[in-house]
Amino acid sequence: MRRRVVVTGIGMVSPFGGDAEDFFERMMVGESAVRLYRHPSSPDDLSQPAVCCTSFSPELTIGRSLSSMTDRFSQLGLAAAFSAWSDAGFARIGAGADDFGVSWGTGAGGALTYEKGYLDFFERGKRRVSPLTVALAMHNAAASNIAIALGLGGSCLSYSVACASSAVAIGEAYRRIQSGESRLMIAGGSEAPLSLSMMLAWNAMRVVAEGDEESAYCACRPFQEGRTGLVLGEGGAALVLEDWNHAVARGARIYCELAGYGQSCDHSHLVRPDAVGQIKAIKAAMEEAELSPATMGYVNAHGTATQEGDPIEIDALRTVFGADAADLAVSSTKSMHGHLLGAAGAMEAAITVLAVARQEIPPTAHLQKVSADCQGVRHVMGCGLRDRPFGAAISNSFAFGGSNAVLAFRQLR
Amino acid sequence: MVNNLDIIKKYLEKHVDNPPEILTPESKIKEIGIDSLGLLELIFEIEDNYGIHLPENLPMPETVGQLLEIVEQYKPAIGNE
Repeated sequence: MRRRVVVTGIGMVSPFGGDAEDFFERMMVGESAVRLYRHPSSPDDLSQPAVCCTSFSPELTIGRSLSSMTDRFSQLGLAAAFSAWSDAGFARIGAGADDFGVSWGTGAGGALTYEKGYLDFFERGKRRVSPLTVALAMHNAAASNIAIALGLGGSCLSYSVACASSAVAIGEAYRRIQSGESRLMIAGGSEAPLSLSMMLAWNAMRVVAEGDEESAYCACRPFQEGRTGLVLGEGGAALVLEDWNHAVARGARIYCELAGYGQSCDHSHLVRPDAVGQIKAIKAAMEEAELSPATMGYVNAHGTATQEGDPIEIDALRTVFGADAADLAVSSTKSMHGHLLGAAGAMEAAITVLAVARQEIPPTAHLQKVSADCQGVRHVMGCGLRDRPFGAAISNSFAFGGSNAVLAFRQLR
Repeated sequence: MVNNLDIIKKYLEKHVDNPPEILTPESKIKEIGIDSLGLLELIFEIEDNYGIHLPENLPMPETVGQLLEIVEQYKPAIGNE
């Protein structure tokens, strides 16, 4: 029999500088962390609306020794994992176990470290790179550092599935606990995409939102008429997932149950999403969690605010929810925390867990006029929704490459 | 002239959580907060500082004194720095 899995810890590096609850409260009032970001060393004054965790101090958060041996994506991951670990009631030292594991997602891993190597070589005339480059840049560096720091001897896995990376990491961690292979997993993701090469690359795809100093705050407008695209965001988020019996036995505070995980591949195009694949993943997650359209209270949408992506997701939701779609509460919180790429699924899963636990639904910020091609669901705007009890919610993550991952969270019953 | 011991002290201040207050030639490298990866990075910084490249087949030093000896042996003579 499959074991039930609960969420007992939430952690993140918030672009606002506070904890997960503070972050959620800011989401609830539509506060955006997007600013015009000027790349500090671009020769051409490269700037774009983005979310940068400016108040995050790796040294203060994870210590000087660990900071000097890690890329920024690992630093953000370690900080998020430590905060989730502590939120779950564990001491930093000595609380790990051999059947506790890590499941992590990142899209670009240590891109900043590679970029530094190239800049040293081509720009600064150095003819060699730091001997730490491999250890810093490898995609599983965040996961392994988390396992080492917390003493987690079970599986230590890293997933790179573009923008679904950390949703997949959470889903696969869920499977390991369900099967009894692990009693507890730290699952999440981290991303540090504000490198010169990443900013230029995303710009070149013509999917980055336009904005200047003044308008950057509301540059990312999912589902809005005239939306101009996504904004890159850096950060990290983590959940502590735990076998229900284990959580209850140790008297853990339980946020909600992770009750379903659906996965699919569009198998049609590298960067153009397909509603058919999304529908399959949404249905699979809902069926596993035994949720009918009428019982679903909230969808945290993938909603990147691109012209192409948003209507396809709404189409998928309309198809799955049918007559119930019109009353289905949907929002994209990327309007406030940006697109964390490989860490997006974890950040949005954390928000969805808090939404279920607090019975509050955050809005899509800056959404005033829903685009004609995004209508048919109940878009949550303004200051979100309260006083509307609901039992379950899903978080959608749809990646370039066509990989879809949907997580279903349910109140305890 | 930069003192070699100062280079190590500066490295520790920059990269290690609790650098030892007293650093002596007898201090064991792994006991002052520098593991094998950190030692590679420290040697890299020393090489950059002197513009030299230490042979790769050198035995890894275990104490601060052994590291200093290696640096003394390979750094440029005074006047050529």
